[in-house]
Order: sequence, then C-alpha cells, then structure tokens
Amino acid sequence: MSNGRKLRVLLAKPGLDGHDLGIKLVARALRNAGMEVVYTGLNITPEETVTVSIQESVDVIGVSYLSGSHLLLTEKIMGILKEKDAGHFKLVVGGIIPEEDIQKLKQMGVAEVFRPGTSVKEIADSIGRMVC
Amino acid sequence: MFEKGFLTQVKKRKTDWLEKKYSQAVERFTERKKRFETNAGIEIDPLYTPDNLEKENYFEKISFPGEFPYTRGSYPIGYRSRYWQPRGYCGFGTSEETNERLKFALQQGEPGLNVIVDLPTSYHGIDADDPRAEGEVGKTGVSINSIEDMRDLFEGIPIDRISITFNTTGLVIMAMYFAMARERGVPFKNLWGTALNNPLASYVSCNSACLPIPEDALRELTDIVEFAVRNLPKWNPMNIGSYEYRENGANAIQELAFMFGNAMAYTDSFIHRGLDFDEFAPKYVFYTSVQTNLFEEIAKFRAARRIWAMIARDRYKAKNPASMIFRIHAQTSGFSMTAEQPLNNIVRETIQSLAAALGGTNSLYTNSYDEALCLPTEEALRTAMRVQQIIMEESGVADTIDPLGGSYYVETLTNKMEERVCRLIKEIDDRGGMVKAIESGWVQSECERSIATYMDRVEKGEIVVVGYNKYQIDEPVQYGVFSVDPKYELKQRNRLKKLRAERNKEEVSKALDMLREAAKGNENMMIPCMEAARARATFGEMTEAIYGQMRSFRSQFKDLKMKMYA
Repeated sequence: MSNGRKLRVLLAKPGLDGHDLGIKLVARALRNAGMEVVYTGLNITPEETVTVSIQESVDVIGVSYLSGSHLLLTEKIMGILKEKDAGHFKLVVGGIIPEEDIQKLKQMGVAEVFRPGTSVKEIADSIGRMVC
Repeated sequence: MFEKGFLTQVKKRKTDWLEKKYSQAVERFTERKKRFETNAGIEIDPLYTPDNLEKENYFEKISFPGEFPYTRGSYPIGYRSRYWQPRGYCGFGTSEETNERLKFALQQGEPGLNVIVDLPTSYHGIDADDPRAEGEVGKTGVSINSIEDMRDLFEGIPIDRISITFNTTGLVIMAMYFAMARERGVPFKNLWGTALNNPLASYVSCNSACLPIPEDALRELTDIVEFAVRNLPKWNPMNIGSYEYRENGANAIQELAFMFGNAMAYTDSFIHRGLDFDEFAPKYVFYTSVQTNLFEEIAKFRAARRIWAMIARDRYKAKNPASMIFRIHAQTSGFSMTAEQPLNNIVRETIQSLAAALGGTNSLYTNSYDEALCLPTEEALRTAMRVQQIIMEESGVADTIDPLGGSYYVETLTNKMEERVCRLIKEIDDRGGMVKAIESGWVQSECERSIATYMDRVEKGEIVVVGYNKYQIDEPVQYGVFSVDPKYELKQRNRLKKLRAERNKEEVSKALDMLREAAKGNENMMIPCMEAARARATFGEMTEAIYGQMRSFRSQFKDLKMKMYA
C-alpha cells in the first residue's frame, strides 16, 4: 500500500474440509475494502499455498480451517515459507480455533487469528493495518 | 372454497377495515418496517382473510393427507401413529470406536443408525496412509478404508433388521457395504437404509476433490440406482438434497427449485438408462434445510410436496401414487448458528425443528447449539435430541395432521412459494437443465448473489441476528475443543498396513483392473467394485480406479472460483 499499489491478499483453504462460505465472504469484504484478492479454492496443499503466494506476489496470506487440522497445516506452511526464503509474508488464520491453540499459532509466526464472531470488517481493518 | 356472496362480503369489510381501522392505527403507531417480507422476499400483508384463497380449489390444491397433491402430508396417518424419525449421526476414530457408539445408540432405542464418515474417506476417496490425509483421519467421522473396516463397523449389529444411513456420495462405499453384507451372509433383499448420493449439489458446496464432470457423476449415480432397483427392494439409494444449496446461500425458493432441478437431472439419467420412473421414484427421499423464518419454512414443505406430485404426474407420467410422494428428511441450519451467546442456538433449533414438524417432515436431524464453535459435545448432541422430543411429547403439535392447513396465511404463502419455485424451475429448463446450469456457473452465482445480499443486509442491520448484530453482550466466547484423540489416526494406519501386507496382491490388482475396465466402458461398476472390495482393495485404490477413468471437473471449477473472487 505504501508504494501506491493495492494491498494483495491470497485466501486459501488448505486441508480436506469443504466449508468455504466463510472465506468467500471474507474475500468479498476484503475486495470491497479495496484490496486485491486471489482465492485459491479448496483443498490446496501447503506447498501450493506458498507457491501461489510467491507467484501472485501477495502481501498477506489468509487461510481458513474448520475441521481441526490448523496446527499441522500451519506448521507446514510456515516451514515451507522459511525454506523458500519467503518469510516476509504475513500469515493470518481464520476459523474454528480452540483457545489453547491461539498462542501455539502465534508462536509459529501467525500474525493474527480470527475466530467465529469476528466481523468481516474487523478482519479487513486488521489486515489493512498489517501492511502500512 | 368459499361461496361468492360470502367472499363479496369479506372483501368489502376487509377494504373497510384496511382503509379505516388499520390505516388509522398505522397513522398513530407507524409500522416497524416499510415492507414486510419473508427471507426469500415474498411480501407479507398485514392480514389474511378468506378472499386470499378466492381461487383455491380445495380438492385440487389442498386435498387430504396421503392424497394428491399431498399438500397436507405424504401419508394419511400423519404423526398419529409414529412421530417423524429423529436422526442423530455418529462416527469418529476407527470402525471399532464407532461400532461401540452405534451399539450404544441402539440400546438407547434409536430406530436407525446413521454413520458419518471422515473427510479423507467421504469427500476425497483417499486412505488413512495418504500424506494428504494427515491430521484428518477419524476426526469428523469414522475412517473406512476397506471391507474389513466395514465389517468391524457393523460387528454385532443386525443390519438386516434396522435402517442404516451413510452420509456419503459415491459408489465405492456402497459396494463395500454390500460386499460386507454378502460376506456376512445377509441377503440383499433384507438390507435396509440409505445413503446421501447427491452428486450435483457437490458442484456448489464443492467439498469433493475427486469430483468428475457432471455427466460422469450422473453415470456413477445411475449405476448405484440401477443396482439398488434391481437387487435391494428396501434400500433407498439416494437423497435428493438441497441442504448444500441452502447452506451455501440459496434462499427457500432457490433451495426448492435447485432441488427439483437435481431431481429432474437424476430422473432423466435413470430413464435414459432404461429404468422405469415408477420403479425408482418411490425410492426417492428429499433432503432439505430448515431455517428460522417459521411460516416460510412451513409453506416450503407444503409447497414442495405439491410441486413434486405435479412434476411426477405431469412431466414423468407417473402411474404409481408412491412415485408422487415427496418424502422429506430435514436438517436444521448450521448456517444460522452464531458463535455469540451460543445457548441462543437452542432456541433457533427449536423454531426450525417446529417448522419441520408443522411442515410435515418425515425425518429430522437437529444440529448442535455449539456448532459454530467446535465439533459437537455430548451435552449439545443430547440437547439437540431433546429439542425434538419436547416438540413431540410436550407441545401437542403432532396430534392432528397438518395443523396449519386452511390458515389463510399459510395457504397463501404455500401458493406463492409454489408459484415462485415453478418460475425458477422454468428458468432452469430454459438454461438446458440443471447440469448445464451448474456447468455454466449460474447456480453457483445465484447462491453467491443471495448470500451477498443477505450479508449486506445483516451488516446494515436490516436483518437482525440476535446476539450478532443486536443485543450483543461482552462475553468470553466459550470455544470447545476437538476431542478426537490423534492416536486413532495411528491405529487406523496400522490396521491398513496389516491389511496391505496380508491380502492377496495378485487378486487385488486383477480386481482393480476389472474395475478400471468397467469404469472406462459402459458396464455397471457396482459388481466389479464389490469384487474389488471383497479382494481387500482399499477405498483409495477403488476410487482411483474409477475416477482415474473419468473426466475431472476440478481444475475447471477452480478457475471459475478464481474468476469470481479475484
């Protein structure tokens, strides 16, 4: 944003779960907030998530989990980001995340965790503030 | 329905009432809204009177329970003999853990067993030892990788005497179940139950990674239905569902139209195969969502029965009355549950379940109030069942059949619902049928348009969601935990390892070759798939053998989504 271009966000749904209404609504809200959004669709692997993020040169990666595989998959994504020397991406996580896992995710390097009840506006504002 | 003189009098007095009494009251107190409407946008008048049903022919449109067009109920007896079937689902870990739960459910007097299968198995057709399955095995359902898992799942359970339901779409799991029954010596004619098998809805909810193009998905479904019609008189091979559409944003009108769109696409495919409508249509079960707008939902059920009766009679020239009966399984709406003040969800569930009961559903699943927060806890599951039982046993709504039949409002709303749904069905026809409507992305974008409008109105506060955009409180949100122990994943992998080591490899690869050949050609895949299951081929291997020969919809679909949201 600082260099005048639109903030670019990749939204992805890693893992096998198919409930993507939430992430689609977030996609819409971010776009309405003036960001460019790339949504990868479902069942993307951690490798693909990182590869597409690099190709699309996004600023922020947002991933959504509803089936309980958030720790495992986030750890993988973080590992690949480091491997590919792409640690500059901000990663945010949304979905059904138990209380005790928030700290674990943040320790892995997750910038923010959005749980049920967070309005799409709050998510857009928070992402907007991340890259100023 | 009413005499002319009476109607003239009603109309006159209604006009007087509206112009004098009501307008005066409005002037004094003002109305809460500029326009009152149902969730799907049907305008609601301040009052309904006999003249709203001026053109209604009671015998043609409303009639009697169990009689054409079934508006007042699928069967003559309503709930005066038995209540609707309450349903609960169970499945987690390996087949051994779920078997214990199933036996417990039987002891509790549940009339049927409902098996929920985990994500790797049901939506992706991959085995527990596939790297993509890591962390997901046995989590949201039971992991089924082979006929031996199927055998252990139903060990000690009388599958010839109780109804079994699978929440799956696809031929492989059916073949595994039927092959298991044969090994146990249970004749096919005694197998009783159903499976979801509603592939077209998957293109909207998009929850399957191994989705073939619709034409191939219809062929797979037709193989299942053909086999069931010929061999399993008590097995309902499919549930024509609209739950996925509704939960992905469709309103009540779109929900019904898309459901009938699916029904017609399936029906056409079965007829094309040479099956007789009156042979398979009596096996149809329809699976709908039920949300909180009470009267709209009640009208939806009543209209749906009438519309299906008309479609069966007029479009498919049904002769068997059983072909015209719309049998409903309803599920309350997970989408309507809020993370805020989660106990409020029990009230939502109750209204939704009441709507289903008043609408005359034949079976019902009530969601858990903690659905927005975690996988359901025991307490939430029990409470969901109690919601239904209180409606059954305490409310008295089940004591007469179709208690709201004849209500000026409900009958009017039923007519309006029917009219709008039929208009949309015509549009699906004009677009070349449901398959074309899905392939072009039209159905998906209709759902997305509805949900976008809904969310905008919620954000503006035009639609109130209690606890979310009105009456909020400061509260620590109580998130549950995922209680499934990861040790089951390991256990399942070990089971699978043992199976792979002990089976006859040659026999497996021969059976898989046969299945591949069947999938390539036109042969019904059920028999070769049952043979592969018998030989101990795994779920993943059989899925690969079938879908490897089919054309994938997935890449195309991904692009479509990228286009919409990028």
